[in-house]
Amino acid sequence: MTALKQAGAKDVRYLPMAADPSVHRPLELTKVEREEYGSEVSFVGAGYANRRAIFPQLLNHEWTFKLWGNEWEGATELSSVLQRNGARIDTDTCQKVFNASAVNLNLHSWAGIGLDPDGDFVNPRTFELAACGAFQLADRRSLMPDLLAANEIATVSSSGELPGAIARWLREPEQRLAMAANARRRVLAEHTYVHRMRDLLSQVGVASPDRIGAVLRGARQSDALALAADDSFPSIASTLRTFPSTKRVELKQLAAQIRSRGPMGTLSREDLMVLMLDEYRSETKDLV
Amino acid sequence: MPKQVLIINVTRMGDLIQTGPLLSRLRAEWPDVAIDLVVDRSFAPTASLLTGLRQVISCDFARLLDDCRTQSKSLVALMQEMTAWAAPLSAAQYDRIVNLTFTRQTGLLASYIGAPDLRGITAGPDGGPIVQNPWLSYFTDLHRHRRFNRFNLVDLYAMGGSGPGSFSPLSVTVPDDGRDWADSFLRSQAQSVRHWIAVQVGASDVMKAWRPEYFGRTMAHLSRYLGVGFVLIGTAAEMESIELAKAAYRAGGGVAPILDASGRTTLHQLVGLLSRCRLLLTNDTGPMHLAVGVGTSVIDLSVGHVDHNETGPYGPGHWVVQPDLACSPCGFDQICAHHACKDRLIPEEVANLCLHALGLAPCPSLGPGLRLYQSSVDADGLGSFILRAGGVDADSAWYAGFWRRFWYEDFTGKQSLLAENFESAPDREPALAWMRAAAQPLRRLEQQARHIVELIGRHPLPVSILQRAQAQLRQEREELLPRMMACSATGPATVAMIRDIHNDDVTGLTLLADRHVKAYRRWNQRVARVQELLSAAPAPIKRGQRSLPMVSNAA
Repeated sequence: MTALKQAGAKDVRYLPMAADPSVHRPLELTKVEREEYGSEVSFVGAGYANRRAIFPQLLNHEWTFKLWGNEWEGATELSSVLQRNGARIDTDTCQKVFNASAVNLNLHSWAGIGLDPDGDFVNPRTFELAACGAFQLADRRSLMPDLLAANEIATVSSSGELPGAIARWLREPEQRLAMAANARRRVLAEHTYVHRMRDLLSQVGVASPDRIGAVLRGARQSDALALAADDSFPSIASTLRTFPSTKRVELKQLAAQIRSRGPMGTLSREDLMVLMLDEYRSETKDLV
Repeated sequence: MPKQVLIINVTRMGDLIQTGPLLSRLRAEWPDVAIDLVVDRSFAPTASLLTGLRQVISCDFARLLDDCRTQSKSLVALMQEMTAWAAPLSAAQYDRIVNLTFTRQTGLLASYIGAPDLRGITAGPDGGPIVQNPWLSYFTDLHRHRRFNRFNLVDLYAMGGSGPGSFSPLSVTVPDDGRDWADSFLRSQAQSVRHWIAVQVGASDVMKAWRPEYFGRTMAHLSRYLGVGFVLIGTAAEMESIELAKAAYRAGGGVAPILDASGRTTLHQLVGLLSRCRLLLTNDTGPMHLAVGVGTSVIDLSVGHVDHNETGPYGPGHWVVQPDLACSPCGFDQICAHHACKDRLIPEEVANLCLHALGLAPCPSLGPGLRLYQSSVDADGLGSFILRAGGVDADSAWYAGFWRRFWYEDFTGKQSLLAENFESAPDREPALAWMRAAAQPLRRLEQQARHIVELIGRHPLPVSILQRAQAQLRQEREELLPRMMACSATGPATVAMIRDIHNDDVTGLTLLADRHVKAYRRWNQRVARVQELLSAAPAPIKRGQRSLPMVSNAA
């Protein structure tokens, strides 16, 4: 973000990745599937330099380890754990691995050796694992604490901590499950793509991006608006009822109706407010 | 019960600072008055620097604009939000609302909140904009006869929002944290500087920004004087211009300490810095008014569409350099291919003026193509500018002084204390001839307006006769308008008449027709008064360029 600002971007904000809970969700796996996709420790992802350097440390331990994903060419040390000969796997398979693994490793990619000491952004896998209700062990990221708390995701700050952390979490299945459940709750509450799009549109000035939904539901029709206005704005409710009941009415139409009374009409304070809002609607210049 | 006044001023930093004397004037009018101010959220910190406010009420108007434009919320939801925000304002039951933001939106807001005394743009009976108060009407139409205007925006605000009174300077509180930061910032960088000069290279509009390289050359010239140092101020968005100025400074052999505070200061720190500088060299910007408010002298480079008479540094102690060019100042929405006015200002001459303002050199004699003004206060207690070098064309000079006095007396009902101008108008004879010729059509318009009142009183209403009479009146008025507008002796009064007849603040045909009769009568009376004044003055002795007549009148 600092680099973007230095490059001249005037307004830089962070919109984190997210998960789609209709895609990434807890699954009931068959015994056969558990055998195929399951392991005590797993990783799904591409063979970046840091992962190639770290994962050999995880071999020859008491746990089973499966490595999924592509771009692992030349990582001969890892060939014993690489699944499907390093073929790219699809989303369905990915979900099954997430659901079938006791400890899902989530190491962010980096071109260096070990873990990125300046890592900031949080990858989509973090949210996808959490949405599946799967336990994950991730590397520490500076932007992580705002997104997932310590009781929602387990982290390590160096590759040397990994074997110990894996062993510990494998010994504590109940805590793993509790942490995974916490993470899933958090993702459903705050980190889906619906939340992200709402934030995005809010940041660019559309505070309630459900406009189209509201229109489709009929909430912008004169009868629905009149009902909503009855208590607070009786004169506006009355004007709204002069429209056909199913007609969609926005500021423009309501203001035109008020103005159509002509110079001899009388304006209520509520009418003045509508006209003011309509003047903002039709303003072609920014205000300040 | 103490009086309560609400001021609406939502748009610019400079406008807010220029509201200060209105606050003083209101306190002079009602010593225990409680004054509230509505501002845009982005300017709430600026508003907090003003003294004498009970509360600052901010609203995110940019967000409101977006919400309304995008229809992101239902109209009922929008209504609920805005009425909730405005509820405390309506509940306050203000005695007066002064709307200093000249937009239809704020006019409707003012009327929505409501008060027995509404001033500035408000909503008429049909929701259309009307302007209440002659000073604020004058301000609304000022662009129509800009070259004759000699009222500073500060005085228009104060007289429009309250009334005439004694001079009160702009005043900005210097927060302790800002002052401390400025002291530390300046002390840490250079011990040898005795005269810190703040330099504001940028401006909100490139049209009103002098060329950055000229700022750099000016600083380079000044840097040869012992004890001078520079503080560059501005926003992060102005850094490119500031770098250009710095490059020109280095290329010009600048040797004095130069500190770049641009994009690094909070508002408090900026105010602190300005208060610690001896001088600000600047375009016409918000920081210029801040500097005036903290008592730091200003050199205002009045280029592009800026007219220092309107928005120049208020009160004594400041200087304005203005190019003398036929197109200067240009129109507000002007797009200019040459920006030639900026090349009229010579950096070395501007530097010499800075030295004079610092008391280190005599007043410079500027080359041709420039005017130099010194700010002052005139005998009526209004901000003014004394022409110190250069000339103004005779017609503009004479009529600017004339209309300054005329409007002051017309709007306040008080006699101006400015000294009489015994020179006659440069176009006295043709102007008087025109006014004599126009007298009869003007009287006829008033008679026709009265006839319309009489027709409206009939039962049943003679609709077709009334329509013909209205059409006839309109046609004769439109035929007369171009010549009335073109003459310096009748133009400004005609602008006021046009505002008058479009300012329909009453409902019903009878009241409207009465109002129009009064508008035509006022037009008649004003033109007759101008004719009387021009007739009384002696015949012209000489013509050509000369200094402004108000020079000798300045206090």
